[in-house]
Amino acid sequence: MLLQLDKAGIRFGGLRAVQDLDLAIQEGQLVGLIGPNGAGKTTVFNLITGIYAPTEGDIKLSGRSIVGLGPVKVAASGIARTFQNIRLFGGLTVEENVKVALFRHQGATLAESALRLPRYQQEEREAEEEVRKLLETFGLLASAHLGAEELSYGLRRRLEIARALATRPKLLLLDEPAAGMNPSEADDLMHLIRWVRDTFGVTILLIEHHMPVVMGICERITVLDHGARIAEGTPAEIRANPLVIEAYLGAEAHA
Amino acid sequence: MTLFLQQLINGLSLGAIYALIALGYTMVYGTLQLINFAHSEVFMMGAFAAFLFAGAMGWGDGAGVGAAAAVALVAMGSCAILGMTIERIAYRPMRKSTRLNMLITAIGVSIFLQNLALRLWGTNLTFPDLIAKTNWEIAGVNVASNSVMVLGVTLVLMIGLTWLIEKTKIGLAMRAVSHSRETAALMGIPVDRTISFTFALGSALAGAGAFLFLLGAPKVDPQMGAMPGLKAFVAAVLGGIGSVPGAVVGALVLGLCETFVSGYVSSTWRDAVAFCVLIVILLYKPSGLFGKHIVEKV
Repeated sequence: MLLQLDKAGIRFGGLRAVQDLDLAIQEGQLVGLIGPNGAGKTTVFNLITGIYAPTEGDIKLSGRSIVGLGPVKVAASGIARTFQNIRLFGGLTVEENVKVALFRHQGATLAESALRLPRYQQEEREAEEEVRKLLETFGLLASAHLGAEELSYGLRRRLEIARALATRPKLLLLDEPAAGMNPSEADDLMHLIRWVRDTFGVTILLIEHHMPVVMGICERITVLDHGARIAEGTPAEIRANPLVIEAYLGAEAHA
Repeated sequence: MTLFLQQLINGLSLGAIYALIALGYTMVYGTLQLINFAHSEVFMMGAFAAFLFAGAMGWGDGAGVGAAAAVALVAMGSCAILGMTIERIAYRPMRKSTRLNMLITAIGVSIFLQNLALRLWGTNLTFPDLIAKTNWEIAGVNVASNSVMVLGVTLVLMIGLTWLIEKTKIGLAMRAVSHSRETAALMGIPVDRTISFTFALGSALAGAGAFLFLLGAPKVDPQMGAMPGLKAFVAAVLGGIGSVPGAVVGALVLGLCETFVSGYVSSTWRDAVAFCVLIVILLYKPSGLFGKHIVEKV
């Protein structure tokens, strides 16, 4: 099991934003996390990435607890994410945004780079190649030297995913990657995400509101409502689950 | 015309020293949104380091260019270590508290360092003329070897700094951290190490500034950081605090203003006019010459 949440939960004062959440993701899976607005989906991401520490339960990555490590160590242990409200590095170019995420994997010291020693040169070549490949994959090569803020909304979302992949994660968390896209753009992106999973061998957990696409590409889906899990299963099982229909459409529609 | 050229050279070399100090203010502000009031004391400590090292080596008047270079490097290195230490001990524990608390901590560090220097080394010490001074007369303009050295050293340091920020991995990390510390952390950038490096870099530049300052005004004193520090801070604000090119341009504008007022009006009006220029620029461009105007999203 790559990621395991064991009765994880968090309280903010009297509010239980997430409670008793069990979630298990196997290596290589593409898993969806869905639920109505305010169900606590992004809070789950914040718990996994160490921005919040769970007040109850445990979170394990490859069998080891990552509770209390904080965002930096969690990122170093192999979890990368994108954000619902895009958070690119504004003053940096598209290329630099991806390159800076390789930092952890480059060992050359400042002295080595000042003197252009072989290790620096080789790392630099490899980094450039990796950045180029990622930009190409996400259709960003033509805009590599633009400022990140000059990109269109859809491209900015793609750049965030490219940047997250540059950290070479085991687990990639995507928070509404298709938000603000029209159905055909969202569909393209979803297929790209599936392709990325297959090509890079990365495990993906994603939050998304475009139901047809989520149902189309995810292998397992977990449904949250009011901070608790109300269903878990394959897309077909989720689609037929009365509790899910009720949570989304309200009790009357179901009746 | 001669007076004009004379003041131009004086103004540029004064501005260059302000620029070296202002860069430390602006880089630290860029990453931590902290006005590091202890920075002028880092400058002062750099002067003491230069003085003490020259004394320990027995270098006096006319010791030569090699000795001067060694003294400058020691001043820069000591300041870098001091800057990192201040960040580690005083600011890092305060990072999660409010910005006002950090600001007060910075004032505290500043007072502490001034009194430490006073207690350990005393006041009003004379720094030796390590390099014999010469003056060249070019087309009626008096060019001091000091000014040439100040401009030359500053230019080299600026080129080095630009290379570091634009072309290296740590420079890229510095820019990412100054944009968003939290996002940088999530992308695996070692934020603490990057901030530490920013302090080392800014402080080393202040150390170089202190050494160059002593060439023209060879008095070492615990209070000596106050005025150049304040002027450099004004220069950073003038250029748009947080902006590296802004700090340099702001410092040159300020240096030129001061020398032209001294030359054409009266040196008693120098500081008043310099600060008036600040007020006028901020009235029309509140975020400074190179500052980004941040629109608050509602």
